Amino acid sequence: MFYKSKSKNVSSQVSAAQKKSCYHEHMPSRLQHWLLPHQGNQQRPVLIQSRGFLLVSMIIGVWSLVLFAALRLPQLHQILGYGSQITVPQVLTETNKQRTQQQLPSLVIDEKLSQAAHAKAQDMFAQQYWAHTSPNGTQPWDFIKNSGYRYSIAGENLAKNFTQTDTMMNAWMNSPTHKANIISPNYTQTGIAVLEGELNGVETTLVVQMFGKPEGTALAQQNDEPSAPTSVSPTESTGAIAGETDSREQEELPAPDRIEPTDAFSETALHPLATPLTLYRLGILTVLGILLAVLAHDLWLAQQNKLQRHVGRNLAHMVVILAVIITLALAQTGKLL
Amino acid sequence: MIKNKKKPAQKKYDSMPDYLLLLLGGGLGFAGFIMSWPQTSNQQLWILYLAVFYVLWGIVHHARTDGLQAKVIAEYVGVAILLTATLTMALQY
Repeated sequence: MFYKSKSKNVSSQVSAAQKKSCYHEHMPSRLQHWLLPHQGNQQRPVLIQSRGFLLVSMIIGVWSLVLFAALRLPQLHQILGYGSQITVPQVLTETNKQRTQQQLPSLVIDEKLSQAAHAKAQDMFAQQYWAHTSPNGTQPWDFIKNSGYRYSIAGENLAKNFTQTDTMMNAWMNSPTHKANIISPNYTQTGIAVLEGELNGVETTLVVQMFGKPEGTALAQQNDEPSAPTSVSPTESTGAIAGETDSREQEELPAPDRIEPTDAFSETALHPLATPLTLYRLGILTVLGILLAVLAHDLWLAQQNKLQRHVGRNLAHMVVILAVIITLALAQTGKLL
Repeated sequence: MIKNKKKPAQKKYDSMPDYLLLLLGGGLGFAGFIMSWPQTSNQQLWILYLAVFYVLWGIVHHARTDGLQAKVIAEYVGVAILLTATLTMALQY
């Protein structure tokens, strides 16, 4: 199946191609070598040969690294980051909209749960982590207990870098474990915090939503009789926690400190002009655009000059690159936990 | 009188089904990638599928049309790496 290319065949057609493409003569030879088919590159611009594609992949990697490094520059924090339009009332409305669709009663805001959510978000900024469990081992329900809320079952959903409430809610509803928290019949109350701050050098919006059912009320499903303490640790993939029912332990907990509740538990610090994904897209679209142009031009020249070459299909490459461009344009920001 | 015996014209390979397969298989991969958001691990699996699918498509298509060459396969691998790098980096944001 494999055979060597007949270079004579190719070079015999070179002159015709070069005659027709006289406008190439004014282009520096190095650039011609990379962008235009000619004898020296066996009628295939180097940019769309395998090494060209590898080089572009490397450029993309370097661009990404530069972007990550640049994001950590304090001077850029006003420009780049995840400025959000998410508000606590919107999150509550969207949550209850989903519950209503499932014919479940709406959740009501509980001040203590909101304090817990606020404390959790503050802790993530203070200790610079993005996880259900803090680096020093503090569990989500520790924040809930510290707020003085006594629960029979509790849960937590986290989100970061979303700019719109509906987008974030769609993402939560697309994740089975987050969805399970939102439409759980076990919960009756919720606490929400939306905080903006700097996480690992990047201006970030964190959304923490705590769910709970006060102690002493029966659970809707299997947990009707809270008996022995049950503790289920959250994992990074679940995005949800189950509650525990140890009232004695809660009584011994100190009163919550360092928690300063605000009316809405929503703080707005900065509103950067662009998200890092926007800047990434800009760089990538430029590079892929050049690649598309070179592929299209090469296809046109090959057809004009009826070049017989053993190379990859330009049309197939163009379809794939175009699909990548469209996918990047449709890609959304935001992460869940 | 000598008759000119014409050599039967070689039937040109119809590439349309191959391109249709590329559109369907690729479309499935890109749609899967978009719809898997925000499940990053699932998205990574779709990227892997797309990369492998494209290289295999290139190999099968060239084997059926004008023959395989190492440099042609390398070209498809190059595009697959480009695709993987671009989409994987996007997941970091």
